[in-house]
Amino acid sequence: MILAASTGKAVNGVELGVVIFFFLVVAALGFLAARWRRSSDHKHINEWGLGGRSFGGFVTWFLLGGDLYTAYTFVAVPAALFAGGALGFFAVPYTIMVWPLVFIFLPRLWSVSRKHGYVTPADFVKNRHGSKSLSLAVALTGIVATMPYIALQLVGIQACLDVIGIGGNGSTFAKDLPLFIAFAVLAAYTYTSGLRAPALIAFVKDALIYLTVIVAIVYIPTRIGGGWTHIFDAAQSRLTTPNPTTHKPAGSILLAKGNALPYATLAIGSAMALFMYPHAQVGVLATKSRNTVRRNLAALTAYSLVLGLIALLSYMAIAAGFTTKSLGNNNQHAVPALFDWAFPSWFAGVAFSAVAIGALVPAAIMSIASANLFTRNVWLDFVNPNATPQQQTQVAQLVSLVVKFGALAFVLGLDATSAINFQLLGGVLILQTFPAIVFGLYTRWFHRWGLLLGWAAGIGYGAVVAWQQSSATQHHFASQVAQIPWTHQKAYIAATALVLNLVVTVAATLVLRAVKAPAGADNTSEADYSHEGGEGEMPEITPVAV
Amino acid sequence: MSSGAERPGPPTRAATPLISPMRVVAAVCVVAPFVAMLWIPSYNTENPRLLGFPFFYWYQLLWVVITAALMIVAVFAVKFDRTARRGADRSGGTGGTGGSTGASGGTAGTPSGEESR
Repeated sequence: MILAASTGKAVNGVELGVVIFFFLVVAALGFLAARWRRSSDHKHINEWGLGGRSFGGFVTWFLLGGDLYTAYTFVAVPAALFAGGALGFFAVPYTIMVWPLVFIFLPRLWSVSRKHGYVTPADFVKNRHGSKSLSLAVALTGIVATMPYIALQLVGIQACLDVIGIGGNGSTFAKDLPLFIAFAVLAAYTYTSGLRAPALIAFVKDALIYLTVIVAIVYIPTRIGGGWTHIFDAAQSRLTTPNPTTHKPAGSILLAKGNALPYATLAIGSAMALFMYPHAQVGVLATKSRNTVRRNLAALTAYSLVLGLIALLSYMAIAAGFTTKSLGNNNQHAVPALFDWAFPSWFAGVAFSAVAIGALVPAAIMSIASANLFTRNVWLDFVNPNATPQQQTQVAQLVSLVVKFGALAFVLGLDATSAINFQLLGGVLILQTFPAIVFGLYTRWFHRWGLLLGWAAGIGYGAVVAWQQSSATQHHFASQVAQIPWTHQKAYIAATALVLNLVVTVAATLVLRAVKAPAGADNTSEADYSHEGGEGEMPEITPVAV
Repeated sequence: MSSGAERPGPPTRAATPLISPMRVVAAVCVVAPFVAMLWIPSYNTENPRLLGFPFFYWYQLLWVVITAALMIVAVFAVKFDRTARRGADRSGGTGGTGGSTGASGGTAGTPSGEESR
C-alpha cells in the first residue's frame, strides 16, 4: 500500500478506508445531532439556525474552533508558505489580533442581539440604522463572501482525495464524484439538524486535529533528520533559489523589503474581517451568555498556536524534498503529501480525516449562516414579511442546500490552485460591512446612506482591483495584494478598500447631516448593549418574525 | 422605543468615572497584541534562534501565548470593574442598571420588534 501511494497513481486502500470510516461516523453524528439538546420548539429558526442559543463555554470552544479554523488553516496557509515563505505566516498575527478584537466588540453585539432576538448581523443593522437597504447590502455581502470560503473547504477535501489517489486523472465526473457524495451527505444532515450537526461533529474534528498536529510536530522532524534548524535552513535555501524562468527567488523565510505593509495589512484586514463573516457570528450568537465568548478567549488562542504549527508543516514538506513539480503543480498538496510520505497509511488516513472533517464542519456552519441571512434579511424583509419562525426554518433549510451547490459551482469554475485567494477575496468583500456593524455598535453618528455609499465604494474598488490582478497562470484574482493608488507601496486590497469606504462614509455623512437628510429610526437603546440575558432565559423573538 | 423608561442611564453612570484603573488595565491588555504584531521591524530577523526556530517564527508563536495571558487578565479586569460599578451604583441608591439584570429581557423585545416590521 505504501508503495502504491508513493507512486502517486494507485488508490491507497488503507488511507481511503480510514477516511471513509470517519466520514460515516461523522455522518451518523450529524443526523443524530437533531436529537441533541432538543427543545420543544425544534422547528423554530432559533433552533435550526442558532442551536437554541444555548451553547455554554465547553461546546462553544469546540464550535468556534471548528468554525474558524478550516481548510484555510490546513491547506491554504501551508500552501502559501510553501510557495512564498514568510509572507504566508501573516495568518499567525491575524489569528492573534482577532481575539482582542472579539473582546472589544462582540459582547455588545451579543447583548443587543439577544435582547431583540436578532438572528443575523444584518438584523442588527436594520434595526440600529433604520435601513432595510443597508441591511440588504450587509446580508448580500455576507452571502456572496461566504461562497468562496465554502469553496475553499471543498478544495481542502479535494487535496486529500487527490493524494489518497482518487480523482486526479479521470474524467471530471469521476474526479469530482467523491466530493459530490461527501457534499450531498453534508447537505442532508445540515438540512435536518441545523447548527447542532456541526456543533456535535466539531468535537470529533478538533480531537482528530489536535492529535494529528501533535504527532506531526513531534514525529515528522525525526523522519526528516537534522531537527528544526535543518528544516528552516532547507526552506531558506529552496525559497531563495532563483526560479529558472523568471530569475527571481520565490521568497524567503523572512519578510523581504516592501513586504512589511502587505504582511501587516493582510493580518489586520483578515482579523477585522473574520467576525464580519456570518458563520463566525453564528458561533457567537449561539452562546448562552454575554460572557461565554470572552471567558473562552484565552482557551481559543490554542487554535492559533495549532495554526502556526500547521503552517510550518509546509517547511517540513520542503525539507522532505517536495517541490511544486513533484506535487503536480499544486502547492495545496504540500501538507497532505507530507502526511502521506511520513506516516504509516493508517495514521495518514486519520490525518486526512482530520483535514476533511475540518473542512466539513465550517462548510456546514457557513451554509447555515448564509441561509439565515437570506431568510431573515431578504426573504422575510422583501418577499414574505408574515412568515412564521417555522416557515423561516423551512426556507433556511432549502437555502442552505442552494448555497452549498453554489459553492460547488464556484470551485469547479475558478482556478483552485491557490485557494488562499478564495478566502482573501471573501475578506475584501466582507470587510466593507465593518463600519455598518461595528461602528453601529457604538455610535449613530454615521448616516445610514453614508454607510451605504461607503460600502458601495469599498466593494466596487475592492472587486475591480482584485479582478485585475493577474499572474503567469491566472488572468484574474491572482493576488490579493495590490499597489495602493498613487504610491509604490503594496497592501492587502481589503484594507485599501476599507480606507476608501471610511473616507466616503465620513464625507457623505457630513454632507447628509448638513442637508438634514432623515436619519433612520433606532430600535435599540443604550442599555441593550450591556444586556446580560438570564441563564436559561429563552430569547423573545417571536414578535420580530410573526 | 421599548426601553425608553430605562434610558436615564447616564446619571447613574456619572457616579463612577468613565476611566477607572481596571479599565486602563483591560485596555492595555487588549491593545498590546496589536502594537506587538503590527510593529514588524521589531521581529523580522533570523537571530536569536530558539530550538532551531528563527526569531521571526518563535517570537510570533510566543505572542499567541502572551495574548492568551493578556485576555485572561483583561476578562478579570472588566469583571472587577463591573462589580465595583454595580456597588457604586447601588450605594448611589438609583439602581438604574436595570438593563443588565436581564429581568426585562422578555418583555422589552416585543414592542420594538413590531415597530420594525
